[in-house]
Amino acid sequence: MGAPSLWHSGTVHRKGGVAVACALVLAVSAACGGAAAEQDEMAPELVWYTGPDRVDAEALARECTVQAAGNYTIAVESLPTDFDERHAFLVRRMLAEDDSIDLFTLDGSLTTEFSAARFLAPIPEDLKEPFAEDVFPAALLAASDGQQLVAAPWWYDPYLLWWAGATAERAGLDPSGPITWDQLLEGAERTGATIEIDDPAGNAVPVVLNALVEGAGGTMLDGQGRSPRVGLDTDAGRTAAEILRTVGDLGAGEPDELAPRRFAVADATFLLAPSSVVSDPALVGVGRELQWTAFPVVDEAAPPGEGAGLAVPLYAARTDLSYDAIRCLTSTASQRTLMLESGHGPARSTLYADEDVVAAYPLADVTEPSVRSAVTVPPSPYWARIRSALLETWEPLERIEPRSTPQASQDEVSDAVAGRLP
Amino acid sequence: MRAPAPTRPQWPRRPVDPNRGGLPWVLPAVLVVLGVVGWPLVVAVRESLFQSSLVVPDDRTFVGIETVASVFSSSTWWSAVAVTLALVVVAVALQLVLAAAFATALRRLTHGTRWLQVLLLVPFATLAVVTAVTWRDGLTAGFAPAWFGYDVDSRSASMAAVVAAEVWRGTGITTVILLAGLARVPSSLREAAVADGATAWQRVWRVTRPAAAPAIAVAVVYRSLDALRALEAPLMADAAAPRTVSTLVWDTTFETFEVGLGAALSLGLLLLAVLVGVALAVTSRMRRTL
Repeated sequence: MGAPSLWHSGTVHRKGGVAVACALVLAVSAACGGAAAEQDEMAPELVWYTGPDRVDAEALARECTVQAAGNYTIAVESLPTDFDERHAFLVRRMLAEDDSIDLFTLDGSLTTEFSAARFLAPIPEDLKEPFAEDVFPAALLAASDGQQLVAAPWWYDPYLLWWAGATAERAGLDPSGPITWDQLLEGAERTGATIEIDDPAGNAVPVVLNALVEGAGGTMLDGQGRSPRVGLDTDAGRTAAEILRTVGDLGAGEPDELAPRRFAVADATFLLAPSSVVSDPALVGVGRELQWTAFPVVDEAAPPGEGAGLAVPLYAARTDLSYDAIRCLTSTASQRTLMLESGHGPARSTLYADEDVVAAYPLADVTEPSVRSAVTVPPSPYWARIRSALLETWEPLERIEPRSTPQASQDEVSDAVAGRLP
Repeated sequence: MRAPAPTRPQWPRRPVDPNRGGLPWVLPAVLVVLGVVGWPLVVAVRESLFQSSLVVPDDRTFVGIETVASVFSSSTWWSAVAVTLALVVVAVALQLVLAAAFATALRRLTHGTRWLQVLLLVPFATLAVVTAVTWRDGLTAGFAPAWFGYDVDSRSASMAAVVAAEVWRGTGITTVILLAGLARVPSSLREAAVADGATAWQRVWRVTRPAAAPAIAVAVVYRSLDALRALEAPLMADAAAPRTVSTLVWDTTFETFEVGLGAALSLGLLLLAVLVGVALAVTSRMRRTL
């Protein structure tokens, strides 16, 4: 043997090194494992399925985790953006008695269905009053099943009319007072402006249609059973059809979540969108040019509104903790953050009484009266299929026939609710 | 004294009745078939008699055959039936033509036939949903619109993707079935035809086709029933594509959660499958006697 090889001479050290490394790894993993186990015991993780909305849910969850002071942590998961997918996802999970959802954001239009299906854990007696305290009637309706509160009202967005710069003035509109649909459509036609409809959650056309029918003195749907009274094949329904057909003929894109982007790059465009569109990143380019006023009036002020509540599944593992988390997430302080940072309308009216809030929320003078007169979609356990039937008959907007569409839609909605094929 | 040697008991030999003896042996299999096929059918029939929604437990009303009757008087149902039958006809015809060409080519090959036969089955072994998504994306957003310059949103692109997925999936297995049919054609028969001066077309139509007819009939029945119940490709297709009967069943049961109507629709699909099966069996028998 010649000179000892490095390999040989290093053996001892190598072994020593391995031993040290092992000890370190063991110590670290033991420490980590120990800490994790300890945290598990101390603070259960609540999983909150939420969206689609413009709320910074992560920040809100962090804030409420801090306030929980070690009782629980809140983890955020996203619900599908597509309405049908979201509905099917939640219904399948609930039917399967899945206990991995501790709390979730419930579309106001689905509240009645989830209550009728007995998917929701009842609200504890001592929270019923705080949840409903000072809540706008429209937001309360969106979180109820027609009789009682089944979810905690969270946000409620009225739809507003938006434009950039002097588009409204050029179209001959006076934004200081209420604008009627006749004025808007006539002005848009004359100046070649289009009217985009923002649809962040897949419900916009049915929500707007419902409000137009209501604004024209009708009622789109009345009754929760299998044979509700459908009020589309009426004068009010035909008025709504004429309005939406004209909106379609003006040549905007189909209502979807990209409408704010199209609005931001087009020259002369109006946008019908919920109040939260103000925080949409697509509108950053519009900047200070952005203007808004209340939703146009048909005969009487009936702006469309969409709300969301927070609910606890019946099979959630720790409903008491879930409801405690909801108490925090829907607290006045949380709604204040939500309002100022995402532009969503708060469910609680007290925020509009706070001068600091009103000063920091430039939409306040328009949104407050709008929420007070807002129209929520009628409570029905069959809303998901009513919505599908409405979309099938009213989209694309430029193919609406004011004479025949309301009647065809009325039949299709009746069939869908009754469970018949059209 | 020695104990008498134990005598083997003599079992009486029962005469075997060929018409009776088998029942105890096939009974378990019959029971399994009844359980697997019969019970869901009974449940489907029972559910179709009620108007019920999976999400509103209080809402369950006995309506008798009203739901089933409403299905057969609905335009949605009949347009779905028309779309489904069109899909079956187009997909099976394309599969047969392609598979016949492949099978003929494979018969001529001298090397690697076994490997090629395995390769042919790869599309069939691929998950149907993967096939469906790949063809949908290829024909509605991917290479095809770029090559042929058509509108990606078109309804016909979605429908072509559905047909393509079905054809791609089924051609290999059809080829294998037709190869078995071609193997049944005795080479002496073909040589005799050549000697008699038959043209190529006559050899195909008068010699090969009748001899391979049973295999062709199997391929047609099998592929038709498979295309009839195809769910993945129509389900994955864009919303613009027309709905087939299977997607109608899916939408009603798993999107709308209208269980009674879903059960009635699936009974309709079963009836359709039976009718198509009977029609194919009758026509293929007629063809064989010709």
